[in-house]
Amino acid sequence: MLALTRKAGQSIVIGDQIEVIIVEIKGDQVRMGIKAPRDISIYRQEIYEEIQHENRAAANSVKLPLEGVQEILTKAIKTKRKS
Amino acid sequence: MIVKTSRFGEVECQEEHIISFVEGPLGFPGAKNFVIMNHPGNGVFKWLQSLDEPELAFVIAEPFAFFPEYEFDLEEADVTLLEIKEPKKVLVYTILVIPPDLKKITANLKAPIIINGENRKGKQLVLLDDSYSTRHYIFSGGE
Repeated sequence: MLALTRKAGQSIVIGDQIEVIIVEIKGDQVRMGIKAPRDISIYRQEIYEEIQHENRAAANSVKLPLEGVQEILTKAIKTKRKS
Repeated sequence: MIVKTSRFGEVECQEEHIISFVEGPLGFPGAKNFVIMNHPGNGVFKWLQSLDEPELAFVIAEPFAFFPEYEFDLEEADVTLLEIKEPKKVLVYTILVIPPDLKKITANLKAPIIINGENRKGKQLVLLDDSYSTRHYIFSGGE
């Protein structure tokens, strides 16, 4: 892994289209600004992994026959409407 | 065109019904083309079936039926990316996790699927808003 030392206000450039700017350093926290094309999504790493994990769980959870799911979802909606 | 799926076998699908994700759902970067299929019985949930990976399908539902207060703002970047011109044509779905105990079905409100109904471009958003998590029980007593 490449490791670079930067100060607040300095930045690094990745390829032609991405720039990561160190906006502020405060104690053990670093605030970064990221300039990137709109079709590149930027996530906090732990959120990224959480959503990946949840998507896989969702895909795996529906491999078995879904007996009764229809009824229970309809019931959930009715309960919500009453409350 | 004929599409192979693990769950439904070979399915006939019209080209104009294909939803193109600008990027695959997180964890499935290669899955960019999907169709939405009604569950037999035309119920409250639908299937988001991958056309690229026959074994990949999600159960999705409109979140507002379960969470009437659910709301979020679309980022300007996503409006541009999905070429959204008409907000009313935007479809919002939530992915459900369906565990063996059906009382514990959860909805991922943190990462909704949005589709521009006009051009059928879609994306799984990740909301910056911390008021939603990846696991909301659709039954209040689920936990």
